[in-house]
Amino acid sequence: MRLNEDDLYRQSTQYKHWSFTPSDLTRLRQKTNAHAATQVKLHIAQDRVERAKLATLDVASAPESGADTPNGNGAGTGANTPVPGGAGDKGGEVDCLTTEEENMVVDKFCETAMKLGDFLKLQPDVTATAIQFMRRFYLYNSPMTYDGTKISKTAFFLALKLELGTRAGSASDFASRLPKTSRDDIVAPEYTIVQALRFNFEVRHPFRGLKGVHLELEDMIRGNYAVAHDGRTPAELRGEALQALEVAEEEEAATKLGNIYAHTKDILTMAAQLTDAYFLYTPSQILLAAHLLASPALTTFYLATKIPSSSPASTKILSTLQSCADLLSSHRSYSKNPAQHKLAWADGDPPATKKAMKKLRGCKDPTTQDLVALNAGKKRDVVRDGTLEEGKAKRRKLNRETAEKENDAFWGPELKKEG
Amino acid sequence: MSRVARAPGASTKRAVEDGGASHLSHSLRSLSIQHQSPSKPARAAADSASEICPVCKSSRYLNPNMRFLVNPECYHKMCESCVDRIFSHGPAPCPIAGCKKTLRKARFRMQTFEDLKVEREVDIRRRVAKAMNKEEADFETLRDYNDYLEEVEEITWNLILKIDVEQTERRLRRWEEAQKAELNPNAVRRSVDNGPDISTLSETSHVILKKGGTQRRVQGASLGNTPIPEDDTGFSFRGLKKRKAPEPEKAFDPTGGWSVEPLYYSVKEEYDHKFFAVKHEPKFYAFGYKAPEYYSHALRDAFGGLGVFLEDDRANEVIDFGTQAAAVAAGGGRDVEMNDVF
Ligand SMILES: [Zn+2]
Ligand SMILES: [Zn+2]
Repeated sequence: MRLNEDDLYRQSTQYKHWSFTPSDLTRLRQKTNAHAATQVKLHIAQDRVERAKLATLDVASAPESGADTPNGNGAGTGANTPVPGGAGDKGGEVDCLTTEEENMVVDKFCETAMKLGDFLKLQPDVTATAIQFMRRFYLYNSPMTYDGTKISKTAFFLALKLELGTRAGSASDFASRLPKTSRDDIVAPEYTIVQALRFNFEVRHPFRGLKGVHLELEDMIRGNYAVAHDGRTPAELRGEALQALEVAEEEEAATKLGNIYAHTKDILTMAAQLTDAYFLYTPSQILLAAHLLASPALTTFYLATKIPSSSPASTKILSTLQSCADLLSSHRSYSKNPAQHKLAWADGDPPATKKAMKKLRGCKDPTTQDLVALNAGKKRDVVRDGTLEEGKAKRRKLNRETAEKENDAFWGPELKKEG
Repeated sequence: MSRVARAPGASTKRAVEDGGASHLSHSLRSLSIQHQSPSKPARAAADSASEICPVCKSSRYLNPNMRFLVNPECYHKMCESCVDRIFSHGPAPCPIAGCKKTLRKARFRMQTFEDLKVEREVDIRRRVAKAMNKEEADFETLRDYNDYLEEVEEITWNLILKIDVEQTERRLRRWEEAQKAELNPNAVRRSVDNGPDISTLSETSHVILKKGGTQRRVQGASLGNTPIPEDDTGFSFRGLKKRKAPEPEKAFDPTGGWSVEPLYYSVKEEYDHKFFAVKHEPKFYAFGYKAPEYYSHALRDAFGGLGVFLEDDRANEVIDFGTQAAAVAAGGGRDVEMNDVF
């Protein structure tokens, strides 16, 4: 009954529920996109009908616009709904985002989230967790359905709670640190997100193991590392490590190691977050791939002390690391050397992303834009679309009333509230 | 002498199963049978005798709440108030003429059986059964077990019929000591005859009066000096297995036998580095946080999943999670299949 580190990793929810092959990932995104597009088209059409009705009513009775819908749920009908149905809505066919455009939009959301984390001076762990929550969330939800700005705030709050525990502070505290944000804005999408995350809160970040790698590398440079599978002596390992670093002295090596560490960490906290690396590779592979980018010679040497280069596993691991490294270096945040101003690359957007963001404005699902009202409506059992939802609401109401009656019969009626 | 009824050639049968009466002697049985169907005059006579206290001659007729008590030393019956009166100030001799037993108040009790002979036999049987508590599994063969049962019955009858009482009683105690020592070899083995044991029921175990302290000391000394060989266990039975000490309990393993054996690294106790600067500050020990824990975590995070290839693993899985979930998503709720669980 012995487990190795791979067996342990296979027990994680990240492996079980959030790891995909590239084809699975694409298929999943296509499904989500197709589903969201149908919903968006349906809801925009419904919205137009309702709006037309209201417009005639408004003309007839009151001059005020943006009156509440009859069922008291203001979501999507008032002035808070963006473009569809508004002045710019020509009433034509809704042009929904494609899967590729969705990807770009989600990446943009994540970049914005990264800037938000930087702005709030949060630990890299918190930012990374929040971004991964968003990426996971948008696997099963479309950016057309849920707005990235709103989701990112709550994702940050969840990540804060996860990484800092009781030190995270309350939702109101967090809201006060953000511009134009109330506590309700933070809390409203919380359940939606947590459900989409399937209550899997653990994110295994590759940078967690970076210190482990450097513990061993420092050991090798000092000549203290004793465990090499091929019988190399500590002294030989030291020599090879120094050679890989292209230095002669231990002190120089330490400085160089520090640089490599910083560079790897940059790659892991930026490129790794903003690509699909977490979905496609294991944390260890991402970590070593980033290390490979930061210092090819040293990483190759280090891996050779772990896995005999003759073994078939070695080639497989190396090719996996290389493909992961290619993915990481393909991101525009990647630079050959650690940058001074780390988020400088994110100042301008590629034209395709700009186009997708613009397109998004025309195809947002009107029913899910006001998350606060939606959340409150859910609590009040007010659901606005479809007869099935109405039936559901009725049944739910009935159930609740019966439960309350039973409760009262057993515990006695609820006490009158003071004041 | 044996009262174990054994059909000829039935040695493979358990003696205790023979009619189920081997533990209850014939006399006991006949007595209880008599008791169940007594002739009327006999009963009337017994009743009238049991209504008057032999000590103070007071009658239940005058005092309906009167209770009669007996002491297992001599089984002489007397009323509760007599017991209170005579024995409240300590052990005293039995007031019945001709009985010289010393009795203690604490050991007086209500009799369970109407016939005092039965009462006494039950007491003796209980006492012997307590000492002789071997089971069939303790013996090599069934034959040995049956022989053992027969010997137990003989001991019982010796005590009941007052044959070799002194010696049987001593052997019994010797046997009990030996059993105790076998159960717990660490217990200090006391000398058996260091004074009368009041927990035993035999006629020999008598209580010595306070005023006879000197006598007691003399007696104790004389009894204590009786040379008893250390390996004397009172009885020895053929085919009795030596008691095996149970295996000592294994230390509790909270992981249930699982352990982590890393493929790619081995954690050292100590690393020379700058990262974990607080590693030797006592305030961190208070949490139970240790530097080796940190090292082990860091290295496990570094290599956990290095050899996991998603393409291979997912190909081997029968259920493809991604497509399955997406299928549910498409057919299910509005946005996520889990959006509305209620
Ligand atoms: Zn009396
Ligand atoms: Zn007496």
